Amino acid sequence: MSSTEAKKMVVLKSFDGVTFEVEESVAVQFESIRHMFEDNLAGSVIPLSNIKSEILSKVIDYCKRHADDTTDEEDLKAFDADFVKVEHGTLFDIIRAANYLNIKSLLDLTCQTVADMIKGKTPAEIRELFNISDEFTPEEEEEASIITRFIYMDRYADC
Amino acid sequence: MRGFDWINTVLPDELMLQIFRQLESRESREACSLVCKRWLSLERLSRESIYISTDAHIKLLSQLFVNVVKVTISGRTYLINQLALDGESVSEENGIRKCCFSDSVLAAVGDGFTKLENLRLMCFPDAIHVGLISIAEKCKLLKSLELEGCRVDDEALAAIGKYCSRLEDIILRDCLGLTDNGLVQLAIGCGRTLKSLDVASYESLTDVALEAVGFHCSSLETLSLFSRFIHNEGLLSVALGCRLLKSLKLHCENMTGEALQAVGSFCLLLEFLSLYRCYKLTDRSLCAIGKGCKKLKKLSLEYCLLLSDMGLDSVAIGCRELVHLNINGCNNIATDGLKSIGKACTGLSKLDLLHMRFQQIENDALCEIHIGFKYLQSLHLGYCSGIGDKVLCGIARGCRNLKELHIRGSLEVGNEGIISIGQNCKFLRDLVLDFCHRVGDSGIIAIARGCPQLNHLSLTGLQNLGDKGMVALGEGCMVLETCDISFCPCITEAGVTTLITSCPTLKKVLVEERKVSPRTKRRAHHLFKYVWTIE
Repeated sequence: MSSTEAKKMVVLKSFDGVTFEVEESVAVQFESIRHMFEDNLAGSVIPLSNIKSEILSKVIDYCKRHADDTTDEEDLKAFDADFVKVEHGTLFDIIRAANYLNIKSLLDLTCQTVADMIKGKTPAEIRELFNISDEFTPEEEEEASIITRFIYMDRYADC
Repeated sequence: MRGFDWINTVLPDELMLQIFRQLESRESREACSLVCKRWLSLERLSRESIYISTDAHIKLLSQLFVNVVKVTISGRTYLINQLALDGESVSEENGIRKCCFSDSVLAAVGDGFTKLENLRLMCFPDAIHVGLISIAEKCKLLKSLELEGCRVDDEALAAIGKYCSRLEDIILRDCLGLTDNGLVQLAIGCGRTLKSLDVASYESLTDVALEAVGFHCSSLETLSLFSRFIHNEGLLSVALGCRLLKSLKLHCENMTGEALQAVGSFCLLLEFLSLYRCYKLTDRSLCAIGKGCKKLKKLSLEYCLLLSDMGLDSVAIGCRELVHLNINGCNNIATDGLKSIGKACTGLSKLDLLHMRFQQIENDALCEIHIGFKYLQSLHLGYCSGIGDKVLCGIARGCRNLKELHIRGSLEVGNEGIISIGQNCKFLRDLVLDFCHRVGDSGIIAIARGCPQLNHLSLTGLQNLGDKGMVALGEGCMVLETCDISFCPCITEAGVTTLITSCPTLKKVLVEERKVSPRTKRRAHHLFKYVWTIE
């Protein structure tokens, strides 16, 4: 108790009613709600009405690790790589949470993860990867593909 | 059974766009646009630049890609496309006549792309002034306009000046029909906002146009000019009017020193100065630059024949921050000028000396030029008389940080100098020794042993280089990627095969086809580029 007393704590409440007590040094990374606890509303609970407890606990984990100055670069990289190894649904929820809380490094990390999944795949492979149902008729696909192709001529634009 | 489509359920448009932005490659974006209807429309919304090579669907394109701010249209690509579609070989004259982007196309661009900020038009030799006027009237947000090989007239330029009040960047290269009057109108119209102007004209662009630029364009930071008819008055007015100038590039044969003196006195923020074939410039004007332009970082004085050591001396004294000096073809500059640069500009990292004529008498002095250039990383010596082995040995010992060394067409450099380079410059990555006939196997062996980081090597036309050199390269250069060994009569099929088999990182080799054995050709055909030879 004595060690936590010295540090200022912030209480966050998730969408499903679970509360999390977080050190202020960790919570400052939540850009969008920073003003709430910086206005010295000590003890009051900050509601995060669109983040599930499961996701919030992950985000807090991430921020804790990134707030810790003692971790070295390599460890942090390994942690990040491990952190994004989750199911698609969870990953997209984290992206939304990172966007809502405005945590830039986490948003970059997770969006890059999705971008890396997409890279080098064909449209059909991407559909299969994310369970997206194909809404195009063959004619529509043909037309879209033609337009896309001649618009992408801008690879010549720089020569 | 299909799982649940999480990505489209959970992520809102702005986050999908964020992911698209992080895709980088064109192919991935193309694939994404064909995944589903939502992704197609999102991907189209996120496009900021397009390249148009057809005149048929501009209206449709502008409806699909509503956020486009940069449009490039080329008559040339249209021409190529036409040829590809027809599948027949049309001679160039016929092709150009076929290229019929019309004014109505430009009008459609103006109508459709309402957010246009950056327009680039290339190769429109036919009149397009009606189209340009309608673009000027409609695209009020235009910030950058580039016209290359287009026909422009005064009326169009005046309209651009009148309506495009945010224009910051104008490029007019090789435009037909460009006159003083047109440029004056443009300067009057968008002088206040203009930051960068690049004009190259073979036709009669005179001081009148430049005077208007000096008078109206007070925020100009970059000026690049090629014209034979510019004398002093124009540049004088620019020096007086454009005090914020950071970069100045001139190819004006008839300009004299007076104009440059004014630049030295008034344009004190200048960081980059390039003077190409300004034959009438004298040392006095260069002294003024040295006195005034203390922030100069890059100085290029190609073929300014009257400039001598005295001028370079004062640059050395004044411009201590210099990192790149190019005095190609300045025949009157000799070792003294270089020595004072070496002494004063300790941060110099790139030096270009092509077509210099150093006198033999100075050879001893030349041997000392390296003393100052301790941190030099790039040195280009080409077709210089007076630079032989003794000088090169000095350079090798003095400039041990060299990463790039280009020596072309030297009859005085031989193995001795190159061996010294191999022994001293262990960071060398890029070496060119084209047509240095006295360099042979022993020089190249020393390079192979001493420069393990060598990445690019060009040895065209070395009469004395043979297979021994190739064996050494294979043993020593573990990261070699490109190698030019064309026109070296002593290198045989065996030498080429050795090089290919022992350098695993090679990506490109230029050589005569007859020197590549069928077996090597089968194994590594993608590496080779052949030179034309008359057998």
